[in-house]
Amino acid sequence: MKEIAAQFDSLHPGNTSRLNFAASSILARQIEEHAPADVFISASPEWTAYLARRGFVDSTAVVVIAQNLLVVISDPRNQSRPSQLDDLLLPEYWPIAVGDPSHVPLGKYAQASLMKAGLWEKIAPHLLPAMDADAAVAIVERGEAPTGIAYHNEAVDNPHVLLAFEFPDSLQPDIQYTAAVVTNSGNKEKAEVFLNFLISSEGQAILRDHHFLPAAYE
Amino acid sequence: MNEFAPVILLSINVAITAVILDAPFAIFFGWLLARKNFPGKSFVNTLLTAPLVIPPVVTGYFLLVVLGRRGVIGAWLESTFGLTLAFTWKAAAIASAVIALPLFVRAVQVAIAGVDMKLEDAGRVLRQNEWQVFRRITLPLAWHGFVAGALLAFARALGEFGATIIFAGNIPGATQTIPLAIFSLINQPGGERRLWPLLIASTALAFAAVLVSEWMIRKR
Repeated sequence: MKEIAAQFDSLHPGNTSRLNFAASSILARQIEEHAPADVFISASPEWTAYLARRGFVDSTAVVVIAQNLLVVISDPRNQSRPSQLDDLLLPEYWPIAVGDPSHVPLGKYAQASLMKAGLWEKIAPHLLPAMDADAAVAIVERGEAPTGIAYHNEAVDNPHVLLAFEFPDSLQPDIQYTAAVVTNSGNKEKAEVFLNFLISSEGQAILRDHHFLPAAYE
Repeated sequence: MNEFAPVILLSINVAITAVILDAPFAIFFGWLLARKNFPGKSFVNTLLTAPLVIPPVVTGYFLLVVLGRRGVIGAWLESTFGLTLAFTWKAAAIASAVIALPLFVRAVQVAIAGVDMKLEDAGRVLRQNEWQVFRRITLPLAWHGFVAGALLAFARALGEFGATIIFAGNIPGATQTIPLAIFSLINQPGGERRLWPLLIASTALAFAAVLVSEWMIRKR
């Protein structure tokens, strides 16, 4: 995001994008409290929908800016590594770090996929729920959990964890990052230009560099 | 039963375990600081006060680095005894114990300092050794202070969040205590509506513990 904002500012002299990073839930509450935001970008379609329902973002102009895949990561210091979802039933791979399924989008996606695979009941007791997607990767990095479920881009970018395997296509959830203009924004026109920049070939190229899947990926 | 009964019971268990872990340290260091002068006393005092002022996340991180599965002591515990602490309820109890210890030590220290040293000397005249003096004279006279300190530590342990989420995680049924459950609920759309039993439980427990602790201190 920092790169995209810098690129955008260099193309629009006089503009200074200010970024505020936090969990979607926290950002959504800030916007509800009328924090001065122009654009809301979220990995959580649920919170985007939450704001749209309450009229805090323009529900007709929510755009998908990138997508992602679920993967299983493992601690490179361990001899063995899982190669398929069924392997996660083996105690040597427990606990399995993942975003907390009660509120972290990564955890919710993982839960939905594992339910689809019929493995949720068996795997759920062995999960180590983390505060967010980054925290799940950090737990594997530190060796507190031998395996974890993560987003593709975070696994590829990180030399301290191994990308063991991707969830099979049939189980991949639609992991979509959405952006929307905040209704109370004082710079609505500029916010829309920014949204268009995100889905332009330049914006998409930056996201691709960071191993996100393009918005148009099927 | 309310959906949060397991959370509340777990919190009470973790807090009681933390107080039990703290008790020997609190009594020993409380006595040491109240009765003895030795080189490095201010350093010991500072070290014992530190968890009160160091950000709890920092304390939690230290605990994870030392007692985690790859930590200096944690790796040894796991290879020697097969004991894993990090991300278990034991980690939640240890984190709470470390954070709550300063309050406990302070209460014991003040209570022991308030015991008339002439009474202890009388015991020594009667050929009691230091341990007997402590057990038969100091401890009975400072008893209320110990209980007050234990209750304060219990109340603080119940509220522990920062060190716990780092060292023990937020695992329902294992390490999800009241503050962590509240954190999870606030992060769920519509979760606030289910919050009130936890808010009442945490406020009531903390209030009761501090109130009884106040009575204990005044009884002296």
